[in-house]
Parts: sequence; structure tokens; C-alpha cells
Amino acid sequence: MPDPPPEPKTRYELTDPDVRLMLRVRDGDQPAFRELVEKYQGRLVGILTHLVSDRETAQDLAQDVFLRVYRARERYVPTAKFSTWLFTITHNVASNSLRKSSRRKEINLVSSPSGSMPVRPLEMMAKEKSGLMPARQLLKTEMQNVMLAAIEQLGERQRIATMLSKFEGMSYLEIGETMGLTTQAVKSLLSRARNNLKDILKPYLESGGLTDGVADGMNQAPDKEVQSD
Amino acid sequence: MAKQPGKTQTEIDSELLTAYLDGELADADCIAVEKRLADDQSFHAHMQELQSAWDMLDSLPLVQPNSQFVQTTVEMAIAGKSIHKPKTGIVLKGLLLALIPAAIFGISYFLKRESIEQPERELVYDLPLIENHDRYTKVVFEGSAVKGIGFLKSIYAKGLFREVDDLFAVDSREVPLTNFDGTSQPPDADRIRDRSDRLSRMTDQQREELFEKKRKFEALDSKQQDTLREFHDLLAAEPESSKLVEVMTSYYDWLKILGMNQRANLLDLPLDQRLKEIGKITRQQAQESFGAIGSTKLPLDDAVLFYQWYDFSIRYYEPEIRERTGSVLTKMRKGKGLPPNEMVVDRIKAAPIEELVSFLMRNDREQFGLILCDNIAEKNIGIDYLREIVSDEARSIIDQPGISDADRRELILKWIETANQARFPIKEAALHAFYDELDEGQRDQLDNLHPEQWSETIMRMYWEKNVGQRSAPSEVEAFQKFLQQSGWGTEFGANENE
Repeated sequence: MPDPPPEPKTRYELTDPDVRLMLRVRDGDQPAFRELVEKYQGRLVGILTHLVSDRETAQDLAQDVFLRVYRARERYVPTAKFSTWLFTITHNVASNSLRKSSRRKEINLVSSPSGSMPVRPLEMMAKEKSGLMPARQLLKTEMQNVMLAAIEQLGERQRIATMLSKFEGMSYLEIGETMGLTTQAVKSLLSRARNNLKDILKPYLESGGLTDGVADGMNQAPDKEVQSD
Repeated sequence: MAKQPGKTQTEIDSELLTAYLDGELADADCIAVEKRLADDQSFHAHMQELQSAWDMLDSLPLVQPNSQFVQTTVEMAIAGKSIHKPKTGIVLKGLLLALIPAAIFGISYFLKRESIEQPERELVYDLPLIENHDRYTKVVFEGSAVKGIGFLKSIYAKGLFREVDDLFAVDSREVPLTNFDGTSQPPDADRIRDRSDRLSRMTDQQREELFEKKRKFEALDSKQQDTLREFHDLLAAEPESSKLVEVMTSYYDWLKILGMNQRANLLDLPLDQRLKEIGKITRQQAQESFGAIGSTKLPLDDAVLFYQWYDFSIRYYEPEIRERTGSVLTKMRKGKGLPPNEMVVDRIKAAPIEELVSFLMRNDREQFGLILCDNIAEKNIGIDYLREIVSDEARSIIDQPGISDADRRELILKWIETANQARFPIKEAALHAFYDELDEGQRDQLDNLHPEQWSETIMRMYWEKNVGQRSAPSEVEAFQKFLQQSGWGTEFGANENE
């Protein structure tokens, strides 16, 4: 009896090397799994850190994502790019975590009304800045703090879509697949995110201003570790 | 670039510019945007603002995982795989490697970890799953973990098996919202330590029961195990997981008191029918239980009338009950030094009415009794109405000689408590605690009973103790007659059909 014909390769298997790696993981190739973890660890932890605003939590969540990938290996069928699938899991894990932490945050605020907020409001930072630094030059770390605060003020879905678009370079279609949204919904979501960022950063920019040097620095391409493949 | 309904021109422009900046526009649209950018200065300025804000994201700090991340993750994943295919060497290696982060918790912990016997090591890994898998199997539907979660949520939404303490726990904000023990992933060092501690504190009997559960779990085929594992993960990830776990536990305990055939029939039903059947059975049980509360002797017919009066009154006074809950809650928060929080109060006011009743019964008993019992509404539906519908003998209990108005209200409140306890079965733990309080003779008597009779008897004893000593006979016709006379037959008729 002749061997059955091999299963036809999917589009993703042909075009996405990470899908091929994942298929090897499915077939029991443990080094392939290590390769995937090595390849995506930085991107996952980076994005998750900006989503949950805590590096330790982000590492735990990233680990959770990889463990879920590994546990799901036997059922893996490539129906999308590997990164889309991975970030779909990431989105779910992050959303769950954010929901839990938002409840915890609410508890803290209620039970300790005078307790410190995790991030200072931008208006306050802007005031401090304009008073303390006549030259109004933004140091890199200060700029980072401003942006961390700004990101925290975006809604959960806007934050995730922003991260996927900005740092994963995902198209609207891919973001939609990852977040379970239509392309039009992604378009609206990102538009609102951009607008909100603009509005959130407005008081800071107005009081602090940006020197050319800093502005140039900010326009540099993002680090390759974080950028999409 | 057609006009989109429901959006302002600014929103449309923003979306257009965002899509342009993201390279998501078709060529023709791109050309149109560029032409407008050249012609329209404010449009151009808007685009620049959006882009500047976006570019600033590049200054977000680069975060790298720690150097052990890959190694730990891979080892944990592989150890997780091996748990279910017991290859001792790999399990041990995986466990030890997974324990690397635990080093930060000190050598003493590591030594303690090493002292655990091999079968317990596997137990530690899967402890939450092993402890709960028998419950999961009763709620997982058609082999689907997702459907199981849906079923659990439906039970919760319907208020079945819901713990009445939900309400205050939400408001106090002191109790952890979820104490459900993690997920079925390989545990981190903290969890391993907690679980090991918990195991070490178990009695021999508890330990044996746990190993029995473990054996049962291992006897399942791998597909069933995976489904239960998935269910566990989904449940742990639910924002309301602790409540769902409590509901599931109550449901599981409740299933045990059903007869074998009744239980089997129930578990064969599809979702909607099963929910209806659960509602029907619990209502019947509640009525029967109320009627059989030992020396209370309020027979079934009067108990049914009482339920109907209670249900109707709660529905009638719902706005007052919700309002009253809000003001009591606000006062309590103030007393505890918490700031006013309308959002919290509003959310709690919107909780199922049964929960609000329980809350008021605990925290505003006197006033709640007044609301229900006083004949303050235009229609006479307070305690006078109850007098009208129950039998003469029940009425003689309500109006027993020398009883004050306050005592009468307290009597009604106790009946309501009974009704609620019958509807929301007593927690197994409460029954066990009650059993521990019994004297030796009572325990002997109980322990000689058939298990089903055991449950029924101890529950009756529990209610007797908690509800008090009352008695009454019955007369069901009075109710229907009264309904016809009062003109409320339709409303109660609807209630009966629910």
C-alpha cells in the first residue's frame, strides 16, 4: 500500500519561519521551542512591561505565554503568522492581568485614599519640570517617565493596539486578528490612541517644550530588540 | 473616503490621518490626503501633532528579561509536560531546575522542598487541579472547558448557590478578591512553598483523600485531563474566579444530596434545560425544607404561602431595599473611615435583590423588618397581608399571646432566614463545624444513618438550631382565596409560573 500523500503546506508554513519552528515544537523538538523563546523573549517582556507597568509581572506573564504555547503545541495548526498567534495569547494573558490589577488598584485607592498613585499625573510633572529646569531640556530618563505615565493613561485596548502597531509593526489586519477586532475597529482604536496620546502629552509639551536635540533623539528608530521582525 | 455615520469630522480626519501615517490607506486615498495636507494648514498641523506624540513612544525604555529567563521558561515547560507522563528523572530534574528562582527564598526552603517524597512532588505541581477536578467534571459541558465556564457563570448570574457574603466582601475591599490557587501551570517558587506547607499540615486522612483524588485524576484519559486543565486555567483567569469557585463548590455539594437517578438525569440535560431543572429542584427543596424544619412545624402549605408573600414583598419593596442598602452602606463606610464612593455603592445597590436582603438582615435588621412587615404601602401588603393568607394556626404563631411588634418582626425575619438558607444550601464547611459542636450522642445517632439521611438530618438540626422553635399547621386555600379577593391573583400567578 503506497504512503499517503503528504499534507499540503499552508501559506504560513511556507512564508513564516517561526511557524515552521512551532511545527517542529509540535513534533517534539525541544530546541525549537528554546529558539522561539530566545527570539521572542525580549519583544514579549518589552511589550508586556509597557502594558502592565511592572517588569517582574511582565516577566511572569511572558513566561505564562510561553508555557501556554508549549502546552498547546500538540493542537497547533498554523492559521496565521506565528507572531499573530503568540500576541493573541499575550493579549489574553495581559488583559486578564490588567483586569485583576485594576481591581486591586481600586481596592488600594479606596482603602488608602491618601496613598501614592503609581504614576504622577503629567500635569504635575510638567509643572515641576518647568519650575525646576529653566533650560527645559528633557533628560532621557525623564522623557521615559513621561511616556510611561502617558501610556498608563491609555485604556487597556488602546495600549495593546498601540504596542502592537508601534513596536511589532503589525498591520491593522494582524492587530485585528490578535485582538479579535475588525480592521475598521482597529483603525478607530488606533486613531483614538494617537489622539489621546497627543492630548495627554499636550500639557507637558506646552510647559516643557522639546529642544531639537531631544526631538531628534526621540525620532530615532526604536531599538531592534523591540522592533518587529 | 466616504462619510462615516455617527462620527464627527474631527474623528474622521483623525482616523484618516492615523491610517495615512500607519501606511494603511489605499493609493487613491493616500493621494487625496497628501493633496489636502498641502492645501489645509490645520489638517497638516493635526497630522504633525499626531505624529509627534507617536514618535515620542520611541523613548520608552527598552526592557530586557533577566538572563535566566529562557532557561527557566524552557525547563518549566518541559517539566510541565513530564508531570503527566511520570518519568521520574525528568520530573525531578524539571522540579529542581524550576526551583532555581526559589534560591532567593533561602536554603532552608530548598531543604524543606527536598524532604518531600516523590508522589507528593507531583501532588505539589498539580495540587489545585487534583483538589478540584471532581468538581470540574460536574460543570464541564460536552467536553468543553469554555462551555463549562459559561454554565458556571449562568448559575452565578441566576443567583443559584450564591454565597450571601459576596456583598460585604466586595465592599470591605480587605478580603482578597481571589484566593483561588493559581493555574495548572508549573508553579513558581512561592506557590511550591505554600502548597508544600499546606500538604505538611494535612492530617493522614486528608492526605489519603487527596491521593485518592490524584489516582482518579490520573485514571482519566489525556484528553479529559487536558480539558480539566484548560477549565482550571480559564477559571483561574476569570475576574470573578473566587465567586465562581464558591458557586461551583456549592453546586457540587448540592448534587451530592440528589438521588442517583435525579442526578444522572440532570447531568444529561443540555445547558438551558439543566439550568431550569436546577431552579425547579432547588425551589422544591426549599419549600420542602422549610415545611419540615423540625419543631418549627410550619407545614408545606403555609411555607409555600410564606415564600410567596416574601417573594412578592421583596419585589414590591425592591426600590426601598436598594435605596436603604445604599444609605446603610454609605454609613458603614463612613464609620470605617472610607471615603464616599458612589460608584461602589451604586454597584452594590445593583446586586441581586437576595444579596441585598441578606446584607440588610445582617446590618440593618430592625429597619428592614419594618420595611417588610409594616403596613405602610397603599396596598396592605405588610404583615397584615401575611396574616390573611396563612392558616389560622400559622396566624396564631404570628399573633401568639404577649408577642411584641419587634418580636413579631424578628419571627418573620427568622422565617426569611430559613427561606434563604433553604434556597442557598448551607456550605459544607458550616455543616462540618456544626457537626463538631454536637455532643457525642447526637453524633452517634447521625453516623448510624444512611449518608443521604445523614445530610438531610444534619441540615434539619442546623436549621432548628439557627431558626428557633416555632410550630404551625396549614391551610392552602386561604391563599388563593385571598388573592382573588385582593385582586393580586395575576401577579402571584406569574410568580408561581416562574
